[in-house]
Amino acid sequence: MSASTSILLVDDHSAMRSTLSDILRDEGYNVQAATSGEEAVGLFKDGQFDAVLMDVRMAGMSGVEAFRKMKNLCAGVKVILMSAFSMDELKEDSLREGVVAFLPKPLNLDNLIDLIAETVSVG
Amino acid sequence: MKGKGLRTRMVLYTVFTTGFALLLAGLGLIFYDSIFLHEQAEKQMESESEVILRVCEPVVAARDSGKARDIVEAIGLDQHITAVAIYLPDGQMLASDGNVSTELTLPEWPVQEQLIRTRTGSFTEVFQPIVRDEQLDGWVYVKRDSSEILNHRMRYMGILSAILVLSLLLTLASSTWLQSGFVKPVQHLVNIANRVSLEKDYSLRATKMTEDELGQLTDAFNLMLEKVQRRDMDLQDSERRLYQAIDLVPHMMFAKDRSGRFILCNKAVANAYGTTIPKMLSSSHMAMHTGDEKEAIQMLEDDHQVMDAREPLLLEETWTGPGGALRILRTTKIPYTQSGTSEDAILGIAIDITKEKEAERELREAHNELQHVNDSLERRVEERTAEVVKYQQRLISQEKLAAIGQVSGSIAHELRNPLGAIKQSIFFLRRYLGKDELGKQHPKLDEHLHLMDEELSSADHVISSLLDMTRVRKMERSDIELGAMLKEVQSRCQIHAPLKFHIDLDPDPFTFLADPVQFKQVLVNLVQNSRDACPLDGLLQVKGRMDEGLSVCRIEVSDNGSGMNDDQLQSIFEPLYTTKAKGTGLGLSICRQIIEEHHEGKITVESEVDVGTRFIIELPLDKRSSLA
Repeated sequence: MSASTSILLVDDHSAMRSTLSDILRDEGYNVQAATSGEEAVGLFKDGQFDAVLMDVRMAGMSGVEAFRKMKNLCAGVKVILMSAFSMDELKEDSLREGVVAFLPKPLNLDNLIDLIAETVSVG
Repeated sequence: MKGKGLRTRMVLYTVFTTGFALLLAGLGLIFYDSIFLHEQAEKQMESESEVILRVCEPVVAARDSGKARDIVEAIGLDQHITAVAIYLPDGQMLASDGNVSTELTLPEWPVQEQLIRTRTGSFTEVFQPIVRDEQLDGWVYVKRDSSEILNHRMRYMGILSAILVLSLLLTLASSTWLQSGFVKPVQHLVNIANRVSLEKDYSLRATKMTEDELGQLTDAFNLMLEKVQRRDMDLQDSERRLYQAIDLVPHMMFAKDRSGRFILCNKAVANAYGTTIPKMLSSSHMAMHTGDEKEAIQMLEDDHQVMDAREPLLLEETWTGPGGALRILRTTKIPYTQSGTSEDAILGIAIDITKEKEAERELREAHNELQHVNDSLERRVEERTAEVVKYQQRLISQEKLAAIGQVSGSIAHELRNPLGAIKQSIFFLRRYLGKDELGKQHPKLDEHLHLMDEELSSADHVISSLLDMTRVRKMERSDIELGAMLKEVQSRCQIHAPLKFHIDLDPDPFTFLADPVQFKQVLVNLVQNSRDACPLDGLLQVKGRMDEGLSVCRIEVSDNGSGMNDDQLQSIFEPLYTTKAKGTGLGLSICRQIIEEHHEGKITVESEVDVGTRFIIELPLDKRSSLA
């Protein structure tokens, strides 16, 4: 896994953000973190990300909205959404709109690592 | 005589009396006359015989038939003498005149009498002996016709009869003429009396025709009539006043004698009988009665009872009027003695209380109905109150459940992030330690991290199941095959030997329409509860039946576990109620919500301590619409 593979991690919960960043960095990804949807969209505009891992429920712009904005900027964006809530309809809508996966929290980390690896390799 | 009028009788009396007197007088005269005439005829005959004897003596002595013939012819001139003959003593006829019978027999000499007389019819035959020197010298025979006397008598009687008839006629005429003078006024009086008695018209007066005793009688009669008229008017006046008074009474007033005849009655009675007062008064109770004969007899018996006991009687009686209308009367019967006749009678006052009775009955019915309505209203109020209370409890428990769901949901979410972060942290640490020497030197580190991870997983499991339970999902009905679903439930709930799990479905496969996720949640809940209540080798049974008649499918989950007491049964469906150390107290309340709110079914429970518990689910079969 090359260090050039970069992942945008978006979560308004700092502990989630830091632990996930550590895990993904330990996996060899270049992780950039954002604390809100707005910030994530800003970062997405400027940078190049192979994948986006984003929480759905956040203060301000939600993960789904941020995904739509990113999709507008880059149609082939690869976004994995995470949620502590089981939101069936939202999950279905997002998958239809092109989200790579909709994962429930707490995350099954082994599966997540596999999924990200798969996602970025498809590139 | 008895039947004849006074006038006829008087005329007849007069005629009879006159006729009888005349007849008596006439008969007396006839009798006297007949005796006198007879004597006269006898004397005349004797003297004639004497003369004939004197004349005949010499002729017979001489036997001179010529002279004898002259003599008999001279005698024969007398028109009363029809035959004359002179006989000699030897029977030889010397001379004869007229019709002398040849078979004539001479009497035997000597004879005592101077004349021998024989009467044949109206004829008298006389034999006279001619005696000379005391010797029979001959017979003189004379046949005399005495019918003249008879004729004379007959004429006499004829005259008498004529006089009788004439005088009787005269008497008849005179008596008729005379009697008309006093019979007429009497007859007039009689006519007036008759009319008064028939027409009850006391204003009629007899005309005075004469100034004699009859005139006085007429005056007295008129005076009497006047008094009677006055009395009658007084009586009528008082009767009118009486009737005016009793007619004002709206109730029936009447008086009856022992025979049941109406002595008195007012208009109300006549109206009730549909007739007039005079008709009532000329009729009897039995004749007027229009209803059942028994009814009439009962009324008469009551009358008699009152008269006999001499006690007033107050009673309620039924009376059938004309047209069959049944009336109820409150009647008072008072005994009294009729003035004048001293006969027993009753005075009755009958009040028609039919309407009152009707109103009373209606009131009673209305009251009953009201009572009934009231009762049913009370019952309904009670029922509705119970329903409302039940509904309220249900509502409270629903609200409770919703609140719990909301709270637990938000707590669960809030917990998930920190738990997730810890989990990720552990994951990182374990990976890190796996690569590091520290991990190898201290194997307990990984063991503890693993323990933490496990505990986090079980905490997450609790949160997940809490979220599962309280999450409101969209209803999605589809056909459920109960047998297959039960297999899943059995595996999920870890039901295995020695615990027995017995499934009895009829029909099999047992298919019905419901939300599979929700229904499975219910089954899992019930099966878990049963399992927890059972001993290790207990028996768990699920029974499925289709009731086509009631259009429900009935699923029973039962066990032979510890069972529940009444208090527990009361609260078992309440949210947060639990008898388990680890229970949330939400399972059964969510089951009820799923069955009753989402599927419009019914869930009930039967239980007995130390015997077991049975949950019964009933789902309507024809509910195919999706419900949120």
